[in-house]
Amino acid sequence: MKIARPVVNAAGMVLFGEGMELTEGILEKLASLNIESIYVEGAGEPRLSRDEYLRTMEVAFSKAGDDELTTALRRVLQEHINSLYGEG
Amino acid sequence: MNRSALEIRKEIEGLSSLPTIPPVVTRLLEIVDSEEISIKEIGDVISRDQVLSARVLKIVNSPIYGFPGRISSVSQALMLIGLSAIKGMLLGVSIFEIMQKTMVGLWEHSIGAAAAARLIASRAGLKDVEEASVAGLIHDIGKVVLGIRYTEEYRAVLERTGEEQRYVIELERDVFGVTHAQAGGWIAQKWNFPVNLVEAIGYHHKPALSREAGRLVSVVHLSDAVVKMMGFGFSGDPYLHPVERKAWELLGLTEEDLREVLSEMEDTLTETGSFEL
Repeated sequence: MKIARPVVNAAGMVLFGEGMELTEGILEKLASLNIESIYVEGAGEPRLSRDEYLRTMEVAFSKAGDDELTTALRRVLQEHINSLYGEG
Repeated sequence: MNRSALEIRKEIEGLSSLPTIPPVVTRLLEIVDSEEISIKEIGDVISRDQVLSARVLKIVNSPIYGFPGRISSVSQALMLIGLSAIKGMLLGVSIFEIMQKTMVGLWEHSIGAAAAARLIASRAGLKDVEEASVAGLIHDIGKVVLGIRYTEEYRAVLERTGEEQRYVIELERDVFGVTHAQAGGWIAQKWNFPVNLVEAIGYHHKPALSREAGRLVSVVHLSDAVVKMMGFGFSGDPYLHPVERKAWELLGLTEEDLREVLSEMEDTLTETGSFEL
C-alpha cells in the first residue's frame, strides 16, 4: 500500500512523500507523531450500494417533474451510477 | 402559528447571535466588518482561540476545499479563503454542533453543498470559488435559525415532511408563512454579510430573484440539487427541487460538465464521509 498524498507536519514540512510504500516503520513513526489518518492509494468502499443509490435517485426525482432539464439531470445521474457499478 | 411574516422577521432578527457561537466568533463577526481590519489581525484573533483555530485548519484541509492536507497556519488559510468569505466560513465552522442538533444530516448536506459549489463554480468560471464554497456551507442557515427560534414548531414541521411526504419548504410556508431561505437571508443581512452571500442564502430556491450575484446564487441552487441527487446528508426532505433553466443557462454548463462534477463529487464525498469538526 502506498501513500497517496504527502504527510506534512504542522509547519508544512513534508514528512513522507506521495508514492512511498507504507511500511511497519512508517506506521510506527506516524503513531509516535499522533497522526491519525493519511491518504493511501486505491479505491475506497463505495458510499452507497447500487440499490441504495438507485432508490435515492427514485425518491429524489419523484416530485421534480419531467421537464427537459430534470430529465437530463436524471439521465446523467443514472449514467454516473452505471459507471460506478457497471451497467448490471 | 399566529404571527405575521413581519413579526417573524423581527423575532429572527432579534437573535443577536446563535447560542452555540462562542464569544470569540461573535466578536470576529463584528470586527470583520471594520474597513481597517487586515487578514493578519483577524488571524491573530482566531489564533488565540485553540478550538476555533483547529476548526479553521480542519475545514480548509478537508476534501471540501481544494488544498487538502497542505494548510498549516490560520493566516495561510485566511489568505486562501479571502476576506469576503471569512465571515461565512467562521459562521459555518461555529454552527457545526447546532446544525447536527437541528437536523440529523444537515451538516453533511451543508458540507456536501460546499464541495459541490466549489466544483461547479470552478467549471462555470466564477472568480471566487472560495466564496461559492462558503455560500454552499451556510446556504441552509435559515433552518438553524428557525430551529433555534421556534424549536417545537420546527421539530413538528420536520416530522410532517416525513409523514406527508412533502417538501420542507412547503411546510415552512404553511406553518410560519416564511421559508428557511427568507429567514436565512434576513439574518445574514442583519449580521452584515456581503450582499453576495445574503442573496445566495436568501434566493437559493429562487435564483431568478437575485439582483447582484446571479451566478453565485445559481451555483448554490445547483449544488443543493447535486448533493440531494447523490444522497449525501439530509436537508429536511429527500426530494429534489427542479433546477431552474435560467440558473443552468447562466452558468453555461453542459451535461459533460455535470458528469465530471458528479464524478469528482463522488471521490470527495467518499473521502469526506462523516467529516466532523
